[in-house]
Amino acid sequence: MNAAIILIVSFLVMIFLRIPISFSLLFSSFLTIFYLGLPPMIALQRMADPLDNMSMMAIPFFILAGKIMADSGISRRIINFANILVGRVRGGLAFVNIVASMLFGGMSGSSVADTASIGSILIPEMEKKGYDRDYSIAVTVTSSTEGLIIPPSHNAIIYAQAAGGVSIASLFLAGAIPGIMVGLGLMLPAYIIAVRKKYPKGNPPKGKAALKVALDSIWGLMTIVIIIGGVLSGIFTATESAVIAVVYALLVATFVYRELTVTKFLKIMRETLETTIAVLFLIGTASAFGWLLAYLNIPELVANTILNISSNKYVILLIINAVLLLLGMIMDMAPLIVITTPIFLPLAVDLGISPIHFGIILMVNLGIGLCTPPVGNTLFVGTIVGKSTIENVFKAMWPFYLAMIGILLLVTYIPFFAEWLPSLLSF
Amino acid sequence: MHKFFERVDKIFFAVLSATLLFNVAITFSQVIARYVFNSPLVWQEELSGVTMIYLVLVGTTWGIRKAIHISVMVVSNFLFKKAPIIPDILEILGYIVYSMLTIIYGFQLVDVTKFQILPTLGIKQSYIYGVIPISGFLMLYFVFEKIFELRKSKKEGDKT
Repeated sequence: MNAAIILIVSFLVMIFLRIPISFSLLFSSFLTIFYLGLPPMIALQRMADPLDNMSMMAIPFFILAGKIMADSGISRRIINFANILVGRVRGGLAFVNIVASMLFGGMSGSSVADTASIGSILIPEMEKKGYDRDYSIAVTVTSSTEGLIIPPSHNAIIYAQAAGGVSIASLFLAGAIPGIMVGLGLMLPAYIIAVRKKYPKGNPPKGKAALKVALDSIWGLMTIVIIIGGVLSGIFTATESAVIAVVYALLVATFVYRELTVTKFLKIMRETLETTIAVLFLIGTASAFGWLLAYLNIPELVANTILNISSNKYVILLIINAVLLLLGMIMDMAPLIVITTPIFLPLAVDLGISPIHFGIILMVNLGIGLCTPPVGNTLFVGTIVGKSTIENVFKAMWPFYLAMIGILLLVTYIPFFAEWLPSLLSF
Repeated sequence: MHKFFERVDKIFFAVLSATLLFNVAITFSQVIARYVFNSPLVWQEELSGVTMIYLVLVGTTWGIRKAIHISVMVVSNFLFKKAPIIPDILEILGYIVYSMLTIIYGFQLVDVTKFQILPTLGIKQSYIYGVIPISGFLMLYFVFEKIFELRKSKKEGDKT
């Protein structure tokens, strides 16, 4: 019991003193190991071992592919394509924004990259056409979370690792419907506000001109087919399709769209390295921490505490969701996945929730956390790209929060949405 | 001094980028070898693993320059509103502790694994874990830079 207190309390104290989360995980593991009198090098071995794993390699590859696509003209063509599909309705550009994020989500799993690239094109465009700036930012920020859930998603790979070997292909499949649901759910408030504020209908190209736009975007859209088709058909592993996506995106950006310059490429490499290293180091140190959590039976302790409050599956799921939403307000997504998965997953499994279903609940939930202050990376990027303030954007956000929470509850309580596709292809 | 730091940064950036691109290249070669020529490259998986551990643990130390590691800012911003230097100092102390732990226990880990051999590459397991103490030493360099820059910015802050 003392060891458990040392582990958790020292971790909390350190992160509140602003020691980076990954380092705090490692240090609190060391402290606990010293207390227990175990050989301290275990912590380092636990930290290094998960990095030596082929499926982890998919993370840098997906991040790299996503950044190449975001920065080299592919996202602009995706927006043009979305414009032909949904631009015609009232509040058309908001719908274009949401659909473009869906398509972009099929190529990349980064909501920040999505907000930065789609937002920098669409927010000014929406404002020019008479949309409120903060409404435009709110649509961009919330819709970008679709990409976290729609395959491919590097967060799904982080979860698969934290959950101890859930099939990545199944998780990818499971995310498809809930990801699209988030998009559809966001369209509701977007449309109601568009009608009330009389936002304009769009006037997308028709006939031959539309065909030309579609053909121009086809190279980008093919990425979705390659990645999702490759993984889901079982031909490629996630890592293999990620590396194919990198090579394909490089080829399209360099030879077809011809927008990838050396300067851009160096910027892409720097950003990819920064994200990749931070995420993988976090996975490593969290694995040392997670090993101790299990060693000290902490998940069981948490489960018993929650079961004392209620033994009703639906109430417990509500509690878990509420806790995750609160944590999502102050912490980033990747650290929360690696820390909360080993704690809550055993309880969820005891209640008869499959690890796949729980993973999707976790991702939809933590996606909301990325859009909420005080800590919400996607919200920050959207606010900066749209040149507004957090306070103003927050006021425009609440109808979209409600929609997202509605979808979260649907995904939580109706396992069908997450489990139907994987069961269909018998993964 | 600032120029020196920037030059070292460029070297790290170049080496880390090359490592990642090398990994892209060998993994892609594996795909081609497996699906086109039907003869998988047996060494690829192990080599990818080794380069990845090096990339992450060396990169982690380089990353403290640009503060890539995620922190929880809310509480400390509130606690140290009047003395924002305190969390900066605590963070640096954290990095020094990381150096000590990885150097001391990293060498122990290297020592106990020196007889394990990787099956396909034929190299010692301890060469892989060797990056742990290396990362401890590199961290000391970046801590030095961080202290230097912090003192400089403090001096400039005092002037204004």
